[in-house]
Amino acid sequence: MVGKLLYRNFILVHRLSHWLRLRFTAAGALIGYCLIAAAVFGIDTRQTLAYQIFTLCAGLLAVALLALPFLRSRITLQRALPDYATVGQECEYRLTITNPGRTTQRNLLLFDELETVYPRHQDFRRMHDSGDRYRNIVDRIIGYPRLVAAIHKLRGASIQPVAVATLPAAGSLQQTVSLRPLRRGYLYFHHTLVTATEPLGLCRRIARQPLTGALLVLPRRYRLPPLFPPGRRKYQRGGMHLASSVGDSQEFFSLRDYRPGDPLRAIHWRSYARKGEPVVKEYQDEYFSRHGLILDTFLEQRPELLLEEAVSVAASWAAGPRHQDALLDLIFIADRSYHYTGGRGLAGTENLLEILACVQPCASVPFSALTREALRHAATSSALICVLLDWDEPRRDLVRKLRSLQVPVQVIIIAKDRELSRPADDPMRDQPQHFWVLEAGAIQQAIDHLAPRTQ
Amino acid sequence: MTPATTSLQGTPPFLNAAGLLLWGWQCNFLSYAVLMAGVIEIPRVLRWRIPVSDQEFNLVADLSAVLLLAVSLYIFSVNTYYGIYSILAALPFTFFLLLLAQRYSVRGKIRMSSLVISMRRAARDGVLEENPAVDLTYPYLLVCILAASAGNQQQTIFYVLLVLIFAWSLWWLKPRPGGVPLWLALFLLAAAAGYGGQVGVQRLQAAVEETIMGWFDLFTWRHRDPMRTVTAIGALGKLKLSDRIMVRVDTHGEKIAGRMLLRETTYTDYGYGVWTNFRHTLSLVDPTPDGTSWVVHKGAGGRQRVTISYKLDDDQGIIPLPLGLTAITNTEASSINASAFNAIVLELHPGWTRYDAMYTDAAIHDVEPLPEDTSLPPIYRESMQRLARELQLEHMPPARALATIENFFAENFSYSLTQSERFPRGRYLDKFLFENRRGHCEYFATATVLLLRAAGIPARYAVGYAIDEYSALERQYLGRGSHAHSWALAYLDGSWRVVDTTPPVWAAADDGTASLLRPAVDLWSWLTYTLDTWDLKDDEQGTRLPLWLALPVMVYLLWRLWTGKHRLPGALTQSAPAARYGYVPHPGFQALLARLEQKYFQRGKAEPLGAWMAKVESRAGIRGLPAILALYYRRRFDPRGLEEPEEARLTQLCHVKLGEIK
Repeated sequence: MVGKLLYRNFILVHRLSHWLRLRFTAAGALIGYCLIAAAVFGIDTRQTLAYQIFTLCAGLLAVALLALPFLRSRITLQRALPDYATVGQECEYRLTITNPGRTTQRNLLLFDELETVYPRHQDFRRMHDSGDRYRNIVDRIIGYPRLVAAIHKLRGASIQPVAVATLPAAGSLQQTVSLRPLRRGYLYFHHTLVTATEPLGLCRRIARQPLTGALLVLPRRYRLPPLFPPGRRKYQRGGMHLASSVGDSQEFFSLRDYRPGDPLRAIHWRSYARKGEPVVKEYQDEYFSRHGLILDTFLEQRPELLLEEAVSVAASWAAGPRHQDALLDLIFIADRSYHYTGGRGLAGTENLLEILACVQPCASVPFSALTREALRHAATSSALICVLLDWDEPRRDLVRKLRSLQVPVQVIIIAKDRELSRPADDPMRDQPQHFWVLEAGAIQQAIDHLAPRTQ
Repeated sequence: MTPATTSLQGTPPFLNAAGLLLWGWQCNFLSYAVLMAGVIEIPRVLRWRIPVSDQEFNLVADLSAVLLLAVSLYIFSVNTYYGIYSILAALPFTFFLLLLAQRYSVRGKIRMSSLVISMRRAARDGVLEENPAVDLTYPYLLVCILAASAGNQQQTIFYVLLVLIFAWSLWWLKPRPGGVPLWLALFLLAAAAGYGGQVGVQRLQAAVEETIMGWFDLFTWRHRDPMRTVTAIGALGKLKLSDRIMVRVDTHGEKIAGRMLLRETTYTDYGYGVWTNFRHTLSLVDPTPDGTSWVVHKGAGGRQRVTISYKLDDDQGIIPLPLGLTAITNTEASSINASAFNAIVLELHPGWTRYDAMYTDAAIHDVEPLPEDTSLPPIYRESMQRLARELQLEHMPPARALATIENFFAENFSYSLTQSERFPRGRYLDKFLFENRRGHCEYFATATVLLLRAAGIPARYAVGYAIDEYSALERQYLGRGSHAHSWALAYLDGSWRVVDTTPPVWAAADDGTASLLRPAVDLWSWLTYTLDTWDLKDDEQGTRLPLWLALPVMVYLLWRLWTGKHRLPGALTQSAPAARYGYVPHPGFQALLARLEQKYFQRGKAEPLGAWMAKVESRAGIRGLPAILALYYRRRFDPRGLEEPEEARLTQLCHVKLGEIK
């Protein structure tokens, strides 16, 4: 009850603080702070002269606010976004600003605003923020900085405001805006605020222009070494097209008699007509490398950072160099099981990264669903890479079963620290070079440290 | 969102120096301010800089924080929380190092992580998303201006200088290069609004204080803090005095000659309109063996007696008592504590309480003079000593010096509840003593105490009530809120004596402020007081009900009985004795009780009859009382009452016992 009340107050405070930051310039904020301090010290007019500072600051702010309605700023905007951005990497886009009016516009400041999403109270209660360890105990207990960080992260990026000193009448100009995405997935642009500052330079008048748009942010990627030799091919029933569940191989091999179960479209009608018995076409079986990438999304009570790092490692591998004829199966579970195949004219690297950009943690089904899905595809895989969030019994069981099918397995564990408890029946004990433990937050260093040993 | 384009730039040349000089002038640190201003402005002309790393900035920031903490602790330990304005005045010193480091550094700015410890940790681990560099010159300027406001110079000049510094600052931060007339017009409008606002703020404070004090007066009782009292010295406007009756004094037929001073407590230290006494410690006063009186000063005599009624708003509180108090009797208090300054704290249930005070006019039994009783607050030391020299008090014997001081106030000063002119903090008494020479009792008492001390006579500041209003309705004296008074105590010839220099016209002046509704309010006050105290004798548990709350119920029941529509059931009315519906005292038993009390000793207010009679039996050797009491209790509490033979037996037993005790 108290927590919910606090949470609602936090939301109000956040909105108010956002509102104040937009409406007051740095000088205005300075006068505002001075006003508050003078109010505190000047509450008893017999003790200090701070009440004079208070009244002067109040007078300045009042005059500045009264001057706002006389400001006019009519401009139109267009935004040109790039196809993708990547988490943590600065990205630029263009904003075309046009002044349709007959007067020159001066001292404009544009705030391109992303959609603000407030976490639900129950989600907020469960949230862990890695920044908490840097905060003092009061901030950790109260939780407001955690909420601000969460809102910031849900919004997805911080965008620097654009200053326009002069915009001539009927003129237009292009401004480059930079943003740094904080998370993967879509960033939704909601509106743009065009602000004009009054002559005293304390307050801004705000005109809101709806200007929507979306930008897909791909996961962060690391430099990975080649994990498996690409040449180990496996029989692919029905050839490459069946491998992607679409059509048969196009390499015609021979004709044979019909056997129950053969698809009708395999019937060679001319031979059927000649012979009077159904005859079917046989196609060339294909052999090629096919790697499986099994992504563990079962976050449960673990820190969110683990999943982000797992997705980044998976994306690094999906985007990394592969042999030309190799296929890559991406397997993970979210609200249902997902299986995408890339390579050899199927889904491209961008498509796989797009999919990975939108991976969400799974909370609705047990981990065994991933085991079932992995085993279903294991037989056709040349090798499997399991990116796991833990090394508990269900995950060991998955690896144990995969190895029993004689499939080479590379296990990558994303953990809070590098020290991991490993029981005696650890299925990867005999292959330490194929068992990596990467510490979340220091993935690249860990990979660089491990890679020389595996090559 | 912390856009870089919206961050503050640095101050223009010499603006920080101007801020420092304003502060130095206001707070009497001018020589330091000149030095600091010079050091701060040198980098404007000197190109020499020091490469200061983030770690070194962190150290400087930590040092400034430690300095602030140390200064605050020191000032707090000396002045307690009244020293907050001294801390405010010292702020430019504490943050100076930080500004110095910024101004002489190559970077010229300080990273936020140096100022915020949580950011510092995150920056160390390289996980901080943004760590902007900030310029502290404008914040430091504001610190200087705020600190300057704690000084004690004239208000008008301060406002003019304030406006100039703000104009300079905002001109520098002005967004567009042109538009000078518009900017100037708007700024002047704001400055004029600010100037007008000052008057409004002062009036607002007076109105708020008056309203809040009114609420306090209406809903709560005044509670005296023995450690601290805030005077109305320096308050503007007319002092609002309450008509509410705070204390009632029954002198048992004696007429008060002049005024009777009832003291609540005494203070020793003065500063900025606040009197304090940090030596106020309480010690338990033991009651006499019979539990009826508490002797505060043994062997001090004290045959004079007054009965005082006072309302406690808590389960303990300081009570007003005559000077020269020796003992407190006839009170229901569970315990009584006293300080060396004769502040008496009574522990009792909240509400009206009544007690007898035994006192003597011969002496005031306060603790001997302490070092504080001769010390002058630094801010008034010079002016008080100058006045003492002017009056030639230093070379006079104490008694003559005292007479001179009394004459000085009597001849040169007048009484006034109104203060129309504003003057700076710390100069109120100078203004009172040397210029307008008008004020109320707090001005007189405070100035008298300080002047006595300047003359070498130990003195203290006492607060309480001056009682002189007799109520024919209540047949006792009344002390109202407006009768709250303060006076000086001077230590002469080995004893404390009252020095009340407030002109005697004050009572008449206060009466002039009385409300037209006062008679009606007084009548209501008397009714509630009577209802609240009428059962003081009969309450055995010591928890009196606020009976006045039952008044409407009683009126309603009387009305119902009068109309006769809801009579009690006939069976009950016919069979039950009359005593059932109202207690009819037994004359014989009452006579026996009176005889026993007269002959042996009085029964305590909350003492059960059985316990008391057992004591009488054991001490006086009288037998047969329990049998009488048993019959009496049956007569009073048994629903069937006593049968006629039993009633006759109770009467007979009482008569026999009365015959035995002669």
